[in-house]
Amino acid sequence: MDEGDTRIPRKYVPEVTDFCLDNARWLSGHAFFRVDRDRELAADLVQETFEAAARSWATVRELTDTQQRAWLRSTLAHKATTDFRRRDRFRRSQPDLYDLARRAKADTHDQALSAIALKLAGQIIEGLPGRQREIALMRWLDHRKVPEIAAALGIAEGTVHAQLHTVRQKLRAGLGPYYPFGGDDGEGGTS
Amino acid sequence: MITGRDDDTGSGREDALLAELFAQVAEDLTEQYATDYDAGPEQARFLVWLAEHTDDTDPAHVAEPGQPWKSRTRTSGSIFGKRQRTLLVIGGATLGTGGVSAAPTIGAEVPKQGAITQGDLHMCVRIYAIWFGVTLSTEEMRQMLLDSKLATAAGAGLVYGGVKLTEGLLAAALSQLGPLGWGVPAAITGTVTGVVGLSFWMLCESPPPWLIPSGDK
Repeated sequence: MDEGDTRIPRKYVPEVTDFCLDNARWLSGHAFFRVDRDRELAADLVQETFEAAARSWATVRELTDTQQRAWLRSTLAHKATTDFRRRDRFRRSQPDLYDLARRAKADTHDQALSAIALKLAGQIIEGLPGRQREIALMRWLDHRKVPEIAAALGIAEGTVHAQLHTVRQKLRAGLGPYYPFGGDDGEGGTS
Repeated sequence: MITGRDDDTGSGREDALLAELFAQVAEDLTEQYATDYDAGPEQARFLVWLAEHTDDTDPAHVAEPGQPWKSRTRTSGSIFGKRQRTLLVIGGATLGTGGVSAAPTIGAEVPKQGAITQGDLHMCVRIYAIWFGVTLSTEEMRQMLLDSKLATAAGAGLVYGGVKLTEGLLAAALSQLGPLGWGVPAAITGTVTGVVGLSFWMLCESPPPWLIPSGDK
C-alpha cells in the first residue's frame, strides 16, 4: 500500500496529537544528535517518524511509554540510515523495525561511567566523521549486526570492522584513563 | 589490515560496555539538545499533515475502557492545563501554517490556502476537544460554525474566507519576489491562524449554547 494514501482514522487523531506534543521535543533532540546537529535533516526525520507512528498507531498505542520511545528511536534510526544510504546511493534493505523496537536494552553495567568520561565520550562520538559515526551508532546504539550494517550501507563487512576498530581506538586515545574497558584487543580480539 | 572476526553476537564484554556507553551518551545528548530545542515547527508541521491525512469518514469515538491510552487522554483537567494546551495547539498551528505558506509553490498559492484552512479547522477541532472532550471532524466543525445561526459568526466566516482568498492571491504575487517575498505570507497566514485560534479559544472559555455538546447542556 502506498504510504501516501494511508488515512488516519479520526478516532486516533486526539491520541496521535497528544503523542506528538508529548514526544516532539525529545524526539527532535534525539534526531539532532543522531544526524550530527543538522537541523533541517532532523526536522525531516522527526516528521517521517511521527507519520510512521500515526500510520502504525493501532500497534504503537498499545506500547508502554518506554516502548513507544524505543519504537520512535529505532524508527528514526532506520529512517536516518535510509537517508544516509539514499544520499550516498547505497543499496536498500528492510530491517525488522518491530523487532528492533522491542529488543531489550542492554543490561545496565555495574560500573557507572563518570560524568567526565561521559562528556569526553560525547565529544569524541560527536566528532566522528559522518559514515564512521553512523556505523558506530548502528552497531552500539541500535545493536545492529555487522553484516546488517554492511548490507544497509552497501559496503563490505571488512570496512565496517575497520571503522569500528578506528572508533575504538579514538575512544581509547580520547578517554585515556577514563576508558573503562581495559585490554588492547583490536577488532579481532574479544569484541 | 583489519581482519576482525564477526563480532555481531554482541556478547563481547567490550561490545556490551560500548553499547552501554553509547546508550548513556545518546541519552545525555538527547536530553541536552531537547532542553534547548524549539520543537514548535516540527509539532506544527506534523499536525498540519495529520489534519490533511485524517479519515473523516471514520466515526469518532473515545477509547474503550481498559485501553491503555484512555488513562492518558487529557480532555479534562484544570482550567490552567486546558489553557496551556490550547496555547500549545494555537502556537503549533500558527507556526505550521506560517511554514507551509513560506514554502514557495508558484502558481498553486490559492489551492494551498485551502489546505491551510483545513489546518485551521483542525486547530479548532483540537481546541474543542481540549475544552469539551469531544472530537469532531473538521467537516463537523465547519458545519457547526456555519450552522451557529449567529450573524457575527457567519460574517466572520465570510470575512475569514475572503482573507484566505486574498492571502492566496497575495502569496502568489509575493512568491515571484523570491526569498524576500516568501516570508511575508508566512507572517500574514500565521497571524490570521493565530487570531482564529485565539478567537475560538475565547468562545470555548465562555461558550454560547450552539458550541456546547448536546450532552453537556
